[in-house]
Amino acid sequence: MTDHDHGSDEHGHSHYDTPGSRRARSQLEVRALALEAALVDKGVIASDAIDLFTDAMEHRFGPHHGARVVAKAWTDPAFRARLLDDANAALAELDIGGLEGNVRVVENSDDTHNMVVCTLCSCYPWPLLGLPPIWYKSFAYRSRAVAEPRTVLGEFGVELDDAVRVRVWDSSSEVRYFVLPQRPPGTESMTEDELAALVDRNAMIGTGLVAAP
Amino acid sequence: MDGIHDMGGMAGFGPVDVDAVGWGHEGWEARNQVVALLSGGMSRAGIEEIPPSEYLRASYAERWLMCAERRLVAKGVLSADDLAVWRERFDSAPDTPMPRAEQPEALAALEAAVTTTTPMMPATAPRFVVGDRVRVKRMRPERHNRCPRYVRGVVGEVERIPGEEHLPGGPASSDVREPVYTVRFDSIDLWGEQDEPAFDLLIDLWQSYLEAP
Repeated sequence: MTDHDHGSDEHGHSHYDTPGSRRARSQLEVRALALEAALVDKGVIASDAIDLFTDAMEHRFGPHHGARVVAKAWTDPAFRARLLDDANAALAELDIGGLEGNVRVVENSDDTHNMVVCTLCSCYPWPLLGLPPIWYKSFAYRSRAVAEPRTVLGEFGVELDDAVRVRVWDSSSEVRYFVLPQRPPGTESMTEDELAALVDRNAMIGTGLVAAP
Repeated sequence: MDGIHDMGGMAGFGPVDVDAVGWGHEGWEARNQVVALLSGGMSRAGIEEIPPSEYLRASYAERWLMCAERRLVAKGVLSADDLAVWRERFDSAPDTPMPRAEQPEALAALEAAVTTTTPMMPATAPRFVVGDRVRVKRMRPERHNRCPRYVRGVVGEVERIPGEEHLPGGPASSDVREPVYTVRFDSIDLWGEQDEPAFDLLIDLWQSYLEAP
């Protein structure tokens, strides 16, 4: 994890600083540490198992995978068709999968814009996008995305033509929804890697569009 | 249980803080989420049992932490004293090292669990077919469920049948699986005419939540 990712450490130290330079801990962090310590001390969970899962969630999963999938779908029509038909199989071709990874891909077009929310908790396609951002888990987003999606999109700077039908997906089962955004004009000569660099997380949740370079 | 977590359509939470792009506020959150998952401390039902006033006050990560502490103590995995002892150690001696215990022989299975997608099973003998109109039953379930209030009593159309899943909140020992339907609702049927253009709301619902209209 980098400071950029969670962006709240006012002293500029990483989470696992040397003891002498450690920032003050919040009471919540002390409780979190105590929970891990008590469970490890009693043999309930193993430290290396915690390391493995945490590394996957923080580093191995993430929007860099989602962006790679989008770029491939834009440049390989057969892959795009497989992705829309059976996302799990198509993602397995790219070695993408795992916890919270039972995915359905929904595609934006000139007349349809998809947007994903989980009103009840925080369901999210971890292997493709990593852990959800704070705003995705916020009460404001959870309460309003299903009732006034265009107003919410406006807060993200997204304005859609009135003729575009918005489709809001409320993730309630074990299906995790992922938005395939539209490829922007003027990108015809770009490579897959260059295209992937244009795609950010919000575009794959449906709270953003991919801008032309 | 129809708790405060069921937020779809509520008003009063203000605009979305679109710049809150980290997954936690302090840096310990992801690891603690893993600790809660691996120890059996996490459950949606446990989060939903947090009293509304606490749920609204706490951050997302704090809700997971509260849920794990309460569940693990309730199950007898830990005692409240275990947690208090470790909190006191980390509070009074911040250099206290985190205890470590490793089980390297278990890592291969864990790696597979992290990186393997579990697809849904195909639905067996679904009662409704794609294109059917269905009404969400009126209900007031005492147990955990995944049927948000805002769709109850409303008629929509089955758009897809992604598969079948365990019925959420069923008895822990049961093996009750049900077809899950992706149901599309028109926003006018959910919310009436609004300033925004009408949109589609799609949500996955278990068979026993639905009836013929």
